[in-house]
Amino acid sequence: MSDVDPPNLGDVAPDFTVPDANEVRRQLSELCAERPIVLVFYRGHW
Amino acid sequence: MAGLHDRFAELSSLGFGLAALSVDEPQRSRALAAQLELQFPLLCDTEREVVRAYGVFNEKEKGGIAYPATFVLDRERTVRFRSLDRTASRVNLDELFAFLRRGIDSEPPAAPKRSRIVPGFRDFIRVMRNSLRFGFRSPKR
Repeated sequence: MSDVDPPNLGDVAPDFTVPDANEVRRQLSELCAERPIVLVFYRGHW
Repeated sequence: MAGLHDRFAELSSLGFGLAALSVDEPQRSRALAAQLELQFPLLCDTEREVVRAYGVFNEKEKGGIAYPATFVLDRERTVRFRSLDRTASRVNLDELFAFLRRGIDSEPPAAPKRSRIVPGFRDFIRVMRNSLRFGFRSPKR
């Protein structure tokens, strides 16, 4: 799979559904449906 | 992430939600969430699908992890602010919060290189306005 570029200003960010820490499935479009959100990617534990 | 955690209340009061994503397993994230008493979701992209889709997949480290990055998304998921921290330092939180405080429709901050070397039109206007208000010379003590 080729690398994609991160979404730019003005782009619609890709939607996704992943489990949260409590294994509850969370969908991005639902997370930001009520109010704008700050979405942070972090390195995680290593 | 820890920096944003510290300022979560401020973020909420400004009307923004927060979600943090890594490739960690839910079990691992649960420990972190409990330890920091997090009030926002930790998303677990164990399949590395999201980090790939967002172009922030660092394949070279630890079996593939996320490059640090910050996006501000409006309610339609449109990107209003982004900070990619692949090589540079982490997101400048003061810059992020200044943007959030100005509002989502405001101009996102220019890339540091541009804004620091050549003052923009806005800087010029600001200087002129301040000069008119406060005078062209430094105030005398």
